[in-house]
Amino acid sequence: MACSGLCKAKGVVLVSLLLLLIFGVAHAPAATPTPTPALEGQTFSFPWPPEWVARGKYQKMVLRGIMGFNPGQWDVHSCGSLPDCLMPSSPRFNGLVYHNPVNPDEIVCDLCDSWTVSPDGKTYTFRLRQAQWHDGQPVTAEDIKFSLDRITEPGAIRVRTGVLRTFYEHQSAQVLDDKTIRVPIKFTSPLFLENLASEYMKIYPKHVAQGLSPEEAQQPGKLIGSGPWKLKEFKPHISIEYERNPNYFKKGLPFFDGMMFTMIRDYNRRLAAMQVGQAQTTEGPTIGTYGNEDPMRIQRETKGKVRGIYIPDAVQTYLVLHMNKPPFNDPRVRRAVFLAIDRQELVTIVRCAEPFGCFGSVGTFLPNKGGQVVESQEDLAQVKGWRQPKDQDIAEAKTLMAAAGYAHGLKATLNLTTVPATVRIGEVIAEQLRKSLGIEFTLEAVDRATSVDRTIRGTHHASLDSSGVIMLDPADYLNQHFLVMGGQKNPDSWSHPRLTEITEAQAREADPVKRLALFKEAVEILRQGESHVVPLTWGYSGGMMDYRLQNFHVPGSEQIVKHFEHIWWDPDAPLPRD
Amino acid sequence: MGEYAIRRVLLFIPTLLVATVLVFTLFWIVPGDPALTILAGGEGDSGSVSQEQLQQLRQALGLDRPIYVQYGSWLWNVLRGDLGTSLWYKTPVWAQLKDRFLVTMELAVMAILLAFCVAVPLGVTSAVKQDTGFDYFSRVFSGIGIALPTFWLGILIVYALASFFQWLPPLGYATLWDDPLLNLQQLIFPALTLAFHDLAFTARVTRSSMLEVMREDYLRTARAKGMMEILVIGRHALKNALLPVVTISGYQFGRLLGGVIIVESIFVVPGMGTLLIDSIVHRDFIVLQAIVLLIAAVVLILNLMIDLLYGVLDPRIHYQ
Repeated sequence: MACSGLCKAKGVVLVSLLLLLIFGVAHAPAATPTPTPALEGQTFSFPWPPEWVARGKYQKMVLRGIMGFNPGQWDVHSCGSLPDCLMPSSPRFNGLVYHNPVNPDEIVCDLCDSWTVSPDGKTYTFRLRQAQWHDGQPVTAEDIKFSLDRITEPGAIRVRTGVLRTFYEHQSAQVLDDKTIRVPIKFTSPLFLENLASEYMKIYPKHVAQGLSPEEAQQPGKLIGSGPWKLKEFKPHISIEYERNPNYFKKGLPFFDGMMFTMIRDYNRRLAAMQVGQAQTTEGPTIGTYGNEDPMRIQRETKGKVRGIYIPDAVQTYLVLHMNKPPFNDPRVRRAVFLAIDRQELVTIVRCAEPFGCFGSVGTFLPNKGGQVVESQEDLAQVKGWRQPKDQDIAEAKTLMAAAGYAHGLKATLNLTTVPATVRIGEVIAEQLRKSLGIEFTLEAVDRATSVDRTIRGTHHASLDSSGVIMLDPADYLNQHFLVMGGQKNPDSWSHPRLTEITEAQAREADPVKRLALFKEAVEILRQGESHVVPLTWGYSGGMMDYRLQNFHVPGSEQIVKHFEHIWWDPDAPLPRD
Repeated sequence: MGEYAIRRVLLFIPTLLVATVLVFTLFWIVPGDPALTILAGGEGDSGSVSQEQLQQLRQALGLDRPIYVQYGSWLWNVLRGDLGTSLWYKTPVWAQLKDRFLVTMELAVMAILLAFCVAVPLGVTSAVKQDTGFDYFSRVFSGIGIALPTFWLGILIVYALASFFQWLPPLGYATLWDDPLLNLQQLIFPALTLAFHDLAFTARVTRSSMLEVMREDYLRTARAKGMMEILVIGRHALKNALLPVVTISGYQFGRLLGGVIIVESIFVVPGMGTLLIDSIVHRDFIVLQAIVLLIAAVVLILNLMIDLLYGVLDPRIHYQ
């Protein structure tokens, strides 16, 4: 039977709808996580490549960078340092999940293709992409299990990754098939993925890593990865050279033939190298060292050819009051110090530089990261220790000092590093405390290794220290200062029963509102000023990039987005006007 | 002379031993822990390191043993020709040191040659043209050279090159054999920085030594004989005036090896200076000890060579 006009019209409509459907599917935004309800829970899938890969410009060139540190540790599972260890290794490896380089607040798949969370939130099932190691072997679920078990190996030194032991029971993961792994966690937690996305939680090849002793794993080139860059050559004190991984599973990435980072210990020489165009990017590309006006000054002097980039509130500077001896073994004296410091004045003096503005803010306890604001600057204006003018707080601090038997002040020693910004902070707070409470600090500035050693051993009355935000969550502060007792961050093992409960409870609390309430309660406890930590100021993490480097999106922490897989060079990029 | 040289060489042994004992003791008196540095990183960020982790690593590295045991173990290895394994890099120290040593030596020799080649003619001319404009210029120039700290001059040179010429010595490092031109570009400015002080000092010593010699009777005799002035100065005056210059050159070389530490850092030269700073920052005492041992040996050998050179320059000197 011949088809009528109506029938033909139906056919046209049908074909059009079909075409529309195909077109729609083909052009759907690919990088956005797509929650898909599934029988066993919720699935998050991350098909590759995302839209920005198509816009990236591959250039037959070697990206030239500079770095101020000489790496000696190459096993990121065990090391604890960003510049010495993570930075040189990160471009060579992948995680199971990571922070989306173009939207760093979001956690997306790196080696995985999707994950499914069980309805009770206690089991994660990861489906892997078709990835391969630098030696051509495929990345399998066995490698993931091996890496999770290596990270959580009982008794092994795991400075940054040890936190995974809180969530994952050693050897509890199940390999379902070559590309699927089921990972049970000890309790439902919003922090499991956040911790798993840490740049330190790299996935290692089982067939290579299991044959290496801990010492061998620390040597350059012994461990291989699946990442966008292969280690070509490491010349101690000279350079690290990477070559492009041509078989990288994220097709089209990375966008250069290679990367060459030259080691320049001298800070001013590094600035000069950027200024004259000897390098196109700083290490990281951001690090606390450049969290000041210098990148902006270089940007101005090079008329925009070098771009200053900053991560606000990335590094917290604080005072550790040692409780192993008088006077800070008395909580009243600790509270007096906490109240008397004028944080507003401190920021103005040490973090602001005309004509570039300020590169820091008044120190809160918890970082306002991961979309959660626990302590806003507006709230702080009403809070003891932060409010202005300082008269009331200083009066209360004086009363506390008198009650503790120090009405006429005291003499104390302050341990700090020789980093100029730290010395400035030390000088300002010493002067503030001398004027307000009669505390006369003797500043003893030394190199970092000595200072850290002094902090742990509590040789001085107080130590000035700083630490970067590792995890984009307010819990970061609680983890850093109250999870490890007796270490650098809590040398006298200060604890508070309710704070310990809160630290544990927030890790299990899935409801963001309830978590925020827990954080606010933690802050209230800390604001009593009786703990060993006195927050002073937040500093920036900074860096510099040639204006032709594209697609860098400022993350919330200097510790994430270190692959260098997403940045490309656009030779035709217009020179920014300002 | 041979017996003298052997005696001096034997004296090296206690001198080197004392140097290493001093450094070892100082290293352990100064606060800082290699294990902590490895865990927390040498600079920048520091991890949340626990006491248990620290103790674990100290044991693994053998740092929990008594100091004298650690020193004895290190010395025993050195006597067997093994300088040890770097705590930070986990690679043999000698593998790192041999390349760095050559770089530093090249830089130091370059600097001393530059200094000597400019200083001696400057000092001689200044003495010959005493109290003229040239002499005043030379004296002011020498004064500035002696007064300026080497590191400050280095920073000034980098600043001037970057600001006025938009150019800096190329990054990385090429050996003299691989790429002589690039090597020269990389080392000429650090060598000039290092040489400036020595140049100034040597010029001053040359001038005063020449002035002293030029008042001697034998020079008057030479002139009276009708000898050409250039020969009087070159053959008779300079040869005799050189003895103190040679003496201070030996001293200057030792000083240069000290100055090289900062200059290498400023000019990104991967020599022993950079390695020394890193080993201090990382509390890598195995590397530090090896560097001190090497520098001390070089200075001792150099002093011996200069002592022996006296005999060649002045045959009246006898060794006992």
